[in-house]
Amino acid sequence: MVPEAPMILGDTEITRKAREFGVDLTLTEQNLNLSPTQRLLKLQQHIAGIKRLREGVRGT
Amino acid sequence: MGPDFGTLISALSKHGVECVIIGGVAMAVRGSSYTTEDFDIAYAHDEANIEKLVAALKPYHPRLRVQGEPSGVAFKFDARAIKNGGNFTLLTDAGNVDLLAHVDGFRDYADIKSCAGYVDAFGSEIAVLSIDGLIRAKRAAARPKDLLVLPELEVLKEAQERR
Repeated sequence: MVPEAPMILGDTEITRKAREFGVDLTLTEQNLNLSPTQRLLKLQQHIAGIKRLREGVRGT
Repeated sequence: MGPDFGTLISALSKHGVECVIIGGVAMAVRGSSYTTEDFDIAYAHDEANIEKLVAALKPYHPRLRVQGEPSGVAFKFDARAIKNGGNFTLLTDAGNVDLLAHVDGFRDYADIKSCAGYVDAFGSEIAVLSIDGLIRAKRAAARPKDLLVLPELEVLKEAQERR
C-alpha cells in the first residue's frame, strides 16, 4: 500500500489571510498529516501540559 | 483531570447513541490546532436515544458544570432530566461534556446530521461535523471566539477541496 503523501498547505489567498490573521499554519499542517485519533491524543496532551503549567504557576 | 476523548467516544459508540461531535473537538478531528477541553455533542432528542445517551454517560458520573464549583453540582442524570431540558453543560469523570439538542445555524438534529461524516477515532466509528458544518455553526453563533477560528477553518476547507 502506498502511503498517502504529506498534506502541504499552499500559498493561496486564503492561507495568506489566515497567516496575516495570526494563525500558525505549521500546526495545522502537522495535524493534517495525523489520523483523527492522533489529533485528539495530541489535543489531550496539549491540555494536560497547560494544566501542569497552571498548577506550577499556582505553586510558586 | 484532563479530558479522555477516547473513553467518551467509545461509550457513545458502544451504546449506539445517535449523536454528532461538534465544536472544538470536531475542529481538532478535522485538523484544526484550536485547543478546547469541552467535548460537545449534538444529539437526537427522542426518548429512545436519550435512554442510550444516559446509559452511555452515567458511568462517568455527570454533574452540572457551574462556575465556582470545581467538582460540579450533583443532579439526577436520568432520561427524564434530559428529556425536560435540551442543552446541558456537564462535568464527568472523563472531562467536560456539553449535550446540545439545539445548535445555532441548524434547524434540527437531522439538519446537523446531514452536515456530518463518520470518522474512525479510537477504534470507533463516530459522526463528526464537517468543515462546512463547522463554518456554518461558527458563523451563526458569531461570538468573538467563534469568528476567531473562521480563518483556519477556511484554510482546512480549501485543503480538503484540493485533496
